[in-house]
Amino acid sequence: MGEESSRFKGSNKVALKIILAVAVLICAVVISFFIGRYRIEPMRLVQLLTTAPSNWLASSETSVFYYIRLPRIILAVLVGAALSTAGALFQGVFRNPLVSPDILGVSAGCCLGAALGIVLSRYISIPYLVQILAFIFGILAMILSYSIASISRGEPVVMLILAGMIVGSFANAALSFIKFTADPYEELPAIVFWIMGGLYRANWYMVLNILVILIPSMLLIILLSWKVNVLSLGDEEASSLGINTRCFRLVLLGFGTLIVASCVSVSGSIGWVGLVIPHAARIIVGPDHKYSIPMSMLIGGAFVVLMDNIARSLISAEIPISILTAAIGTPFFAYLLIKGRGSAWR
Amino acid sequence: MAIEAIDLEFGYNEDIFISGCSFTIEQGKIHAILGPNGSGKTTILKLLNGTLKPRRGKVLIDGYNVQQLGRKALARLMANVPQEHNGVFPYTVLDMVVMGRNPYLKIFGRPKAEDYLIAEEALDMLGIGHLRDKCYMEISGGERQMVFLARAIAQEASYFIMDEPTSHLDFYNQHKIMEILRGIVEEKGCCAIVSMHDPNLAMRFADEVLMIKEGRMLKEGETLEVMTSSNLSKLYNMDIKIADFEGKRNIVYV
Repeated sequence: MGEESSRFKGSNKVALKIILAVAVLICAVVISFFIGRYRIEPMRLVQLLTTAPSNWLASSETSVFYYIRLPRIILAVLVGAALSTAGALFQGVFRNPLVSPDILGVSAGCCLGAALGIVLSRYISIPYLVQILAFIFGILAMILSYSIASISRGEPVVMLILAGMIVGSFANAALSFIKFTADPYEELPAIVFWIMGGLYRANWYMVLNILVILIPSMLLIILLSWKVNVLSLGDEEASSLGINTRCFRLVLLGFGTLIVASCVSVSGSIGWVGLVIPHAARIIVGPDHKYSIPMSMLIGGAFVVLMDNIARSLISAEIPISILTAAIGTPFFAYLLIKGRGSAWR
Repeated sequence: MAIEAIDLEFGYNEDIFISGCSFTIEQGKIHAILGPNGSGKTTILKLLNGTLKPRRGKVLIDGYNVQQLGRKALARLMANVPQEHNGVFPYTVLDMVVMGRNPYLKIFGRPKAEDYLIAEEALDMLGIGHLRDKCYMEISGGERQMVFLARAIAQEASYFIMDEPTSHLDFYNQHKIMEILRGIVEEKGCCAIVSMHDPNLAMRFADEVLMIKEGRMLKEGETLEVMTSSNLSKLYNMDIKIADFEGKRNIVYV
């Protein structure tokens, strides 16, 4: 019995770490309320949070808080959590530490769709055309990668990675062509800035729209997270342990892609988060996906919301967030690699 | 209750790797598959566990066609012990063994306390309970083989498929693994199908031997009947004699 209790001690330790991560995320969100051009007094927070929606437009303070800052903070947490979840999931599914959510060409597809939307919005005006096209092209890229990989004979995981590279490169070529033909004074900078990523477009409409996709997808991924362990042993072993690997992988990749495409379509491509955060999560809670996926979600949300605070407050102009996630993410990752034991990876 | 292979043929295009293989594998026994490198031992095992689809013939497990059973149903009947393993995540030994419970979990299920208990019992049964919290990549090859064996036990399957489980192990561990396997088969009444390179191990531990040469069955039957010097010489194309030493039959090359 003594041995059994030590197992529960192990999972208690993880529970404690998860609670700590939740606390960090909450702190990060609360700090974010006070950061920005418009100064909000800490004392006013409780009063602000209890304002009825009918009074949100009543003062400049409440309208800044409710229509600019709050949706942006929520969006930052969502995008960070979702990209990190997808990263942790994809690294497990592909059994590869260098995999990021871009692996199936999804982000490249989204960027192509967005660029197309920016150019097309000169001719047709559909609200959120850029976001809609970005989302559709992201999903299309994944479908294309998956189809190429399924048709080809060979080790499925390797074929998927190669197919993703093919689709991603093709999308990039098409994107370059659009950039080349775009109007250099208006459209080209719009495309470039869009791709660099940022949460400055955040509003409630976007938050609600991606919530509808993110909540069920992330819930499903968390529910399936233990089975990702089995899949990560490789196809032959996983199937001898009773998993229909093709079907299970398709479900996971499908929901992972939904997550990535919805994030990129609202925020542009925010690099580095989906690659690094899962490594950090595994250093903290170990390789078991049952823990590493929720942990990625929590620290990913905290990381992006903090990076976005810097993006909107460091200098008078907005800094594209992907510059910051990379510039601050890389040394952080180097530190983790040196301190930790190689990111819990063989 | 048995595995029946009926007239198996397997190959790609013109190349035929396996042909005319029919045999029955009964429970409560250790079946050794012997044959030179490239003779088709691994292919036969992969046909038995449904990884490969035969071009002709079929494999029946307890009367069900392997190719028509779902992965989950099959995993409850048959466990595989891999020869080597190229995993990437350093799971603990206990986490690895508890994955053997997967075929009994629902779609969104994860192992519960009783599954961990079964996994721990499997570890204790093999005398490696002390390794539970170690990373399975940081233990010795012999210990790792035991971990995979424990996972197969936790899977509670009636058939164990083992592709050269002893080929990476030293002399002592080869015998230890086989002795433990012997114990499991006797205790649980299950059945192990083991491909191996060392005919002496087969001689000592197998109840039945299946000899494969160039994709065809050379001999099949009870160990003492099949393991004759003429059969072994034919199988390996070398002059093999059998010597009695302190009451045990030993295979020697002269």
